[in-house]
Amino acid sequence: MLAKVFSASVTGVDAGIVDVEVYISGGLPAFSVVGLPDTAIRESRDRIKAAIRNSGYKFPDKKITVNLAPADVRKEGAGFDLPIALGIMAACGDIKENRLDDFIICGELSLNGDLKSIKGALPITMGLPADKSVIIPKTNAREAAVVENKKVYGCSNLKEVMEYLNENIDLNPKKINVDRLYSEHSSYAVDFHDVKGQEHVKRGLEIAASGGHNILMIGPPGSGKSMLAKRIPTIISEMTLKESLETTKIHSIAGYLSPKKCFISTRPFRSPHHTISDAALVGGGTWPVPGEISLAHNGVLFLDELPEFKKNALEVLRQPLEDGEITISRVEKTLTYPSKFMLVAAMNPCPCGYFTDPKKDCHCTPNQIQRYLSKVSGPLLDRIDIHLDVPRLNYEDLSGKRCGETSEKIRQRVNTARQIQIKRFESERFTFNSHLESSLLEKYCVLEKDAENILKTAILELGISARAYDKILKVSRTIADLDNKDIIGAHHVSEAIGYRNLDRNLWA
Amino acid sequence: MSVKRSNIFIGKTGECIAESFLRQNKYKVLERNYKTPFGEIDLIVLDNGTIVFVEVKTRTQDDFGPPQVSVTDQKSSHILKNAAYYLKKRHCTDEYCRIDVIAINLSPTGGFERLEHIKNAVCENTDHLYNGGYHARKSFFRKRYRR
Repeated sequence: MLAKVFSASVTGVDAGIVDVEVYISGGLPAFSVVGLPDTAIRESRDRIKAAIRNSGYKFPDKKITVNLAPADVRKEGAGFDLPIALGIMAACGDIKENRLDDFIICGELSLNGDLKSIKGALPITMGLPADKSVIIPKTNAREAAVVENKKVYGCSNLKEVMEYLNENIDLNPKKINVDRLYSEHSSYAVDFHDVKGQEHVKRGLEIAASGGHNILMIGPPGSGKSMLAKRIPTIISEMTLKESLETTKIHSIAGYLSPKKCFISTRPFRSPHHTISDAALVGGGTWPVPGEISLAHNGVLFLDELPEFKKNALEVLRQPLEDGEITISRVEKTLTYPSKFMLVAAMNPCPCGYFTDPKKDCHCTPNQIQRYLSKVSGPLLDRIDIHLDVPRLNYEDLSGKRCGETSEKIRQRVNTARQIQIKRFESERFTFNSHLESSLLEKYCVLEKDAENILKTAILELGISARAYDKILKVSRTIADLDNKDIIGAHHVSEAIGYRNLDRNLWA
Repeated sequence: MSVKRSNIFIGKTGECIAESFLRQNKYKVLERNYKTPFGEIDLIVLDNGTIVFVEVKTRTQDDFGPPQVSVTDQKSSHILKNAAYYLKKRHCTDEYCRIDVIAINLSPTGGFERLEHIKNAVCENTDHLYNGGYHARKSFFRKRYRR
């Protein structure tokens, strides 16, 4: 009385097949699960027993041994409830022979036999072998059906699965029109049009979005930093289907998808609170799970009140900012999650917040300011290309009827600039100006004579460091791209120098 | 002394009731009060090829709940041990078998009131396979005690 069901488990961003073997034998009644199950799987014994009985089937009073193979890989999550239950019934002879061979089956059972949604339905379906279909809970079906050329069957309870496997009822594989889903979901609730004034900040954000530059906004409280940041995803070019799938996959693993929001086709905007721990930010745990930076993959990670973040939380950002992925190493497992995101940070110029405010006095001592700014380390600042000053708004700007440009318009310009970069870097490993390596700067950043002079003066007069020099070149490259110029002109360079506030030692 | 004798008497009465109940229901009685080094099995019967170990619990009052609640974790591990001993002795560890509890309520005067047959009431605890299970803890303490 042996039965075998195929299921899957997710490690990192990919799924692997797990064989669920069930053996029913004589001896004192027992129910044991072997093959490195976690607590959730071990507890499944009680759920399965109740679910089988409440679905109108008989649970055998015999010795049941369940093996999850490969035995040396740790399995986690409640997704094995359904395959184990089906395995038990197949071993009892309640399911037609060889019927289970064509399916990968995943699902959590509730006591009454209903199927509850699982994490990682999308990666499981994506990793499906060609000759297999997948049976998953109905609530996950829309999410998984996005994958092309795979048959996805969504079931609402154990009884339905059994009836289907015994060919008493016929189920249609879930079909979904990806293009329609894509267009349905690809609109944003916010728009740059809502922001009054702050035109130069918007310009800075446009440049950042075009070249994929990380950005730091500095300004007094209430000047609109958060409002501006929230609108950055709206001006970055639309997600491609590939990008959407990558991001949706991570959200699927984290369990953040619902039948209503089953596909992510807008760039994610994540703004974790500053009390976040380093493990929550980059991902972690004994069995690593993706963190905020991976959830922000292909989107924007917004860190408001940057100096308030824990020092170690900020420092762990360095490697992922550089590599576009994060490798989490724990004793039991080493995993890599993608994390290509645009970092947008915001901070006040001093602890009280009003240092740069012309209207309100700042009460902070130079010492306090120094300490406040020093919380953001040099190496992190090094990875931020653009520093923007966000001033307090004037009454005229606030009350004015004039609204800003729509995101749509800005996005068109950003798109053009991005296309230029993609074309230029065709033969390179990267696509955006922000990833230009210093050895390639000379090749791609050709300056006009005037521009060179300005840069020289800036370095001599303003005390700009060598690393800032690289940044200025990269940013001016993006500005020139927005201008559709091959050679970087004087006004491009001078604008770029304007975005290096922190290097110009305006403070203390 | 008199109380104790009365308890044994109640127990015996219950076992007799249980046995006749099982006979009525087409069970074949194999053993009665089977003694092992760990204790005693009240009844061993055969149900359609399945060996059934029966624990009979009898009570005359419900002040402490129905009779079956007194089959605690410790009690069930004793029953399992006894059952395993029987199976080993008979060389039939691969036979299908199960453990039932029959709960009987008697009136204070000794008359029969109610009988409940709980099939497959006790299941082998496999938590010792995993770290920190009941058995692992128990043996850990026992070892320490021995030292």
